[in-house]
Amino acid sequence: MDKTPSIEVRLVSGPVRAARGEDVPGVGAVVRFEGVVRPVEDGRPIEALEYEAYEPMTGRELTALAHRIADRHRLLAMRVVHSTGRVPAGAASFLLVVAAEHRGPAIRAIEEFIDRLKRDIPLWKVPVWAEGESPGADHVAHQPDHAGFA
Amino acid sequence: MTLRVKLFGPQARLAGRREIAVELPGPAPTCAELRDALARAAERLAPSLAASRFAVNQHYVRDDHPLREQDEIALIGMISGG
Repeated sequence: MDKTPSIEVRLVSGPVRAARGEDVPGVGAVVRFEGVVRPVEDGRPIEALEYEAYEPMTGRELTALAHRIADRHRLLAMRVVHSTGRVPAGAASFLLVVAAEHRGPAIRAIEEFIDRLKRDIPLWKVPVWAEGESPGADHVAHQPDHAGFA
Repeated sequence: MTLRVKLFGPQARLAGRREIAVELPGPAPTCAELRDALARAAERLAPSLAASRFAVNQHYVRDDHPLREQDEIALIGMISGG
């Protein structure tokens, strides 16, 4: 297979919303992962998470990672959407969709991408506690959408 | 020279600021020297520094990378995307 994979990477302000389905020629497996903000962190209830990126480095590193993973697992397509700013508990902050000819590479690509994301990509989150503690001096300003930097 | 280091997320919260200025001697101190100086300048950051990396002008660099006063330096640690 020597097709160039279709790669889409976006940072969006606030929660990640439902996305369209995949329509990739030759696809045999689509695996979709959504990261959702847990309502409890370290045993304490949280209201939200404040996500922060370091642009443009974050987008560039995410895009490079997506291409490396897509090449290694011979994916047909990959879509990455990650939040910046405030995401309330229960809402999605991260969407990863991969499409491949077979399920094995698609599943392995999901696992490897997330492992690398948590190790290498400059993205941070800070809890906003439900008891009312504010982010204070570290309040992360909401950032505009950064579509199209790939 | 004075180097300014950007802080993010939990490390910014630990330090209580978004940027920290550090004085280092010599014409081209390295990131390793900056790491040691940061531990002295902001003790609450010290436990997280060994597992942190530096980005200079928006690119990851190694610990032996020489620094200039005009560099944009970012401390990339305690990352937690996803």
